[in-house]
Amino acid sequence: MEKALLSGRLAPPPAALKGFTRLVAGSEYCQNKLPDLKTLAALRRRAPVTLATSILTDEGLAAVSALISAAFRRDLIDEVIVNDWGLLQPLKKLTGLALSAGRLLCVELSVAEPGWTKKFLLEYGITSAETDDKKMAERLKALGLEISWHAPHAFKAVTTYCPFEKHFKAKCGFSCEGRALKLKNPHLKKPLLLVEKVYLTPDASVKPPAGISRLVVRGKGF
Amino acid sequence: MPAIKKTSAAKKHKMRVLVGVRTLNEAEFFLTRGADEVYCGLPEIPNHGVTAENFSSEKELKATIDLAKKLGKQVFIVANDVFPAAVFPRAAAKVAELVRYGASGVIIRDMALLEYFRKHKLKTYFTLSTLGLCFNREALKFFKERGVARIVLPQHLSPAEAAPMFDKKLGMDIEVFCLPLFYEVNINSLCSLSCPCSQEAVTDPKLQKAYTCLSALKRSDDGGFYTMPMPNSETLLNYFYDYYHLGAKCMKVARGPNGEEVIELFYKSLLLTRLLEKGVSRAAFVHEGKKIASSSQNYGKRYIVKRF
Repeated sequence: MEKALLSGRLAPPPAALKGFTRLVAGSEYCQNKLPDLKTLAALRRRAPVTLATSILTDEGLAAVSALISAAFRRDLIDEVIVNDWGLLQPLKKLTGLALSAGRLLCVELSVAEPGWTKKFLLEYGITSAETDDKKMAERLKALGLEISWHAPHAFKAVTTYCPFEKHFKAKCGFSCEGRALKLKNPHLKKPLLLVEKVYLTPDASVKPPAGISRLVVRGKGF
Repeated sequence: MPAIKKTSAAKKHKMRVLVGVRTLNEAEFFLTRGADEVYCGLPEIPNHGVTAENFSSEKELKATIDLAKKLGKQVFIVANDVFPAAVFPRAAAKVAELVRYGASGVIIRDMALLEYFRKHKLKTYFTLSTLGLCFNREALKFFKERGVARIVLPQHLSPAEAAPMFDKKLGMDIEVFCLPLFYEVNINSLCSLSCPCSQEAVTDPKLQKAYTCLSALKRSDDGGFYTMPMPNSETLLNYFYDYYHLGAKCMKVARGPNGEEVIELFYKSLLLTRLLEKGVSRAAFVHEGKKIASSSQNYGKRYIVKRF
């Protein structure tokens, strides 16, 4: 099983990479947390790189599409995690780029009628899927997808309204960088962790279920 | 401050008003008081509502279709959830049956349902629910190619971000919620936090406590309190103003199990819509809108089941 480090927008310190054979740059939850080409080049010198992408506005889609094209042409990335229906069409043109259905897209694809879903995955060349949920992992495996297991946090809720800066804007001050806010109250069984634009819980075991191809671990401070 | 400086389709137009109902009486009430369309669910058709938000019988739903025809109005079937494999054939056949009976269209989230209709050579007017996550022009084209004619715009976009989707060349009808009165804190289809929306029978009047998204949460960093943020009322009034002037065709009043709350939401949303249709200035709209939207929807009350 491959072990990958989720590194976000910036390059992690070399020591953080110990034990990992792949880097997952970018974010499944915020379109602003996109690494630049220089960072991707620095990451690629250390390990193969997957680029994670989120739900996208038109402005975000243009930025992400341009970055993916440029990075793939220069051999800086070999895989993209997709969470927006609108990104699938532009990526169809990039032959050889591996596509993985992101955790948000998998909420739909893991439940939909399997006959339709298999045809859809084939049409867009999606060969793997990201998840932090055991039941979802089983359903996605049954569709013939390779599974990337995200640990130790499972996503519970997502917004596109930045909880740190309180705006929708594509341009931000990256004030969430390196911040994780632990939130609790008596009604919550487990505390929530606010990172970027997502509320997570410590629900995803670092010991992945059987048959998983890759373990993705969120790096400290990313 | 304006959310967008200038809009391309600033002409006055009448917005169609859509209301979610769960009985024939409710449909008659709204369709004779300003609604152009109603939408209805059945428990056997997967949809994103609790049981009490659905019709209790197919017979009553069909009577609602008959009534709408008589009044020259429209009825949509709500099928805005992903249909699991185990129920797909039966549920899809039921949707098809209601369309054949005379329903004006279907509100969907699941693209497999579009393929089912294509296979069965059955045409209808499909609306993509806000749960379908259409956040950009490319995604809109993606759904249009699959047969969608209208989208409900996600609440989690600013008008400036959504503007490219209003391009008339794309030919998609756009529906919006009356945002100053109805805004969900997190993206609905991607939220599994504790919430009465996911409960089947809620009787506790102190429901607000159960809404994680509205509750005070204790922060670990400074020991203070945190509530999940959302745009303020003035911002949302500006957004609604902008969406109208961008050319939104339809305003949606969400269904709910508490009839009194839906009536209040309907009349307030209608008032705001009529203000826009009169062509009032942005400043006047926001000024008047603040009074109308001063007691925005109470999530807690909303999920106490009350029929009328």
